[in-house]
Amino acid sequence: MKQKILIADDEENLVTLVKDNLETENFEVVQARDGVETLEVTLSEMPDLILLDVGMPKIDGIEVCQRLKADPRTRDIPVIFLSALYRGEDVRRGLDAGAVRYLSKPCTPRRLIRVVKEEVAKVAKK
Amino acid sequence: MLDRLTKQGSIGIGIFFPVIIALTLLLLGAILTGYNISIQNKILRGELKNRGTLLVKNLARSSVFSFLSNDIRQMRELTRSASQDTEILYAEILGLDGEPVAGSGIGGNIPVWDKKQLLELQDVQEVYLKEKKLFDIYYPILVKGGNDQESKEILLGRALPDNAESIERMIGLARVGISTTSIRTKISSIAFKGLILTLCLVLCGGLIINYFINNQIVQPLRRLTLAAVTVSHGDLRQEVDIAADNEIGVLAKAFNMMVHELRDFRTKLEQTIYKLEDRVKERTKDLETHVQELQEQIRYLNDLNRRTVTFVTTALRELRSPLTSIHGFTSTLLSGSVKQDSEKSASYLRIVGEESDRMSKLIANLGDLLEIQSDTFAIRLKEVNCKQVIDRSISEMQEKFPDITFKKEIHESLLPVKADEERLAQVLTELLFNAAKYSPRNGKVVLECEVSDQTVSFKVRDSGPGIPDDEKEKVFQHFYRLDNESNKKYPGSGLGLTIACAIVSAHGGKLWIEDAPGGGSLIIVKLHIDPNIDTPHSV
Repeated sequence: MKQKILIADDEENLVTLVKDNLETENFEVVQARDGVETLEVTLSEMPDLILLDVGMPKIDGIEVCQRLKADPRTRDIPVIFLSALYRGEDVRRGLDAGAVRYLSKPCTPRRLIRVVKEEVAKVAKK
Repeated sequence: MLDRLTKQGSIGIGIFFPVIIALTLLLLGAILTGYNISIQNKILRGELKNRGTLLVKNLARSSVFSFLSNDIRQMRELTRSASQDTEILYAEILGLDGEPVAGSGIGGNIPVWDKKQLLELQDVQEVYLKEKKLFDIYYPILVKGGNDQESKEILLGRALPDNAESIERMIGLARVGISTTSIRTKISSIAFKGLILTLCLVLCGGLIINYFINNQIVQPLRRLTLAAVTVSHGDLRQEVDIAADNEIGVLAKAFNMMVHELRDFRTKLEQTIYKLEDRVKERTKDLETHVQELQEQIRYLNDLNRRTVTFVTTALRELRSPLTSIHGFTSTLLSGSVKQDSEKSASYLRIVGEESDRMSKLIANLGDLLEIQSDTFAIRLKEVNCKQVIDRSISEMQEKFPDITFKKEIHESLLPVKADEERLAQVLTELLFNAAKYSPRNGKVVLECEVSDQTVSFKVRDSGPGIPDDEKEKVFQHFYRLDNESNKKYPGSGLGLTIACAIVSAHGGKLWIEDAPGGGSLIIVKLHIDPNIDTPHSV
């Protein structure tokens, strides 16, 4: 069965890029364009991993992550931040919110896929 | 303080002078008493000697007959009566051999004075026996006539013939011892009285002197000392009221003068201090103002630095997103996972093109903004035909947004205004772009231009959803974008309005956003017709 990845970002082009690359790697991809949609899609789709942007409309990525981690239903889904915010404090904020990894843009599709595979494998082991 | 000062001197004037004077008086009394005693001694001795002499003479004369008649009993009687007074220690009648013939008292115990000289005695001879404390007085018993029977007869009472030659000769000696003890007693009494008198004198003199010194010297000095101590503690109201017309009075006047001078001096000093304090306060205030200014500058610089860092950080972040897309899509294409010439690869290339445009525009806007905000930026003012600029901007936007209706409302009385034509066009284009971006499909954007009271105003009205009040100010911030779909369709750099605002400011004008009547937003730009003539803030 294909593993399901949720990509949450308000940049259409980036979503397309990540989606195409992940699908090539045999992942099923669902997407969300803002914070509220991310929470809804997570609950309805229960993805195996979430790729989350920080600067999103409505609810920002940090808060989305905190909410996901506070909810027992979604707590165990690994979250990887993919953001243009690149400073040390941004990374710390993201990891403090409960993310397993923090990737700063620009990030190559190859690296993204490697990280996603690693994290998915960790969950599978458990 | 006063006690401490006064205790340092061992003997004060109040004691020293009375003591000296009392001692002097005592010495004087002693000398006087001594002198008195010596005189009295002399007088009393004289008196005593005279008495003894008289007594011995009487004894000698009265004993002539009894001696001649060798009447021992009579002679004893005479000596006894002579020695009746207590002071007469003895009375004796001596023969020419110096041996007592008759006597009373203690004369026998006291040896007779030089016997040889006794025989040559003519008058009274007194010898003072110091150890016995008595006058031993001798007087010859003299008779006239020879030592024959006839002479004796005559002497015994028978008359001598007129021609009879009178011969005086010594037949014996009378001796009397008179004690000087009474003199001593009297002298002691005189000495005692003298002592009492001297003591009284000393006491009275001492008291009077003491009173005088205390009253005239010590008390005024104490008052002066007390005043001096009070002055030394800073109380310069002290003045001493001593009216005495002597050195102390002069000292008191000098003291008062000194205090007066000190008071004047202190007043001047205080005034100087007040002046100095005022100056210090003034300087401190100046310094505080300077410090405040510096702090403000530091705050401003810190703020500027923070804003610069934020700006650069944000600018870098803004560049990262398109770069990620460009990089990602090209690497995906290069990896061969997408077929060449397929629809997907075409769309990827289109995206790469769009993102490159976005990056270019962003970099251009960043450069523009940095130039406008730099100190060296200057607008090139010249007479501008507003109508032409408006037409140019509208036609440019019409091309970009074909489904939006752009409309202009220009008042006929439009005068040429002085402005930087290129920059003004940039502002209008940006405002039209924003208005079109947020307007719905087939929406309408109106640009109104009018001149009134030396100002020209451009109003751009859109038919979009409007801007919430709390975001009206934020839209001028760097990289601020409204959260809505329009922004996805026509992504801007987030710097357009910031640049427009900076250009308007450089013209001395103003730019702000209002809600348009009947929905949508209304952006208003007000410029002065000639920025050179009037100050910018009059707009």
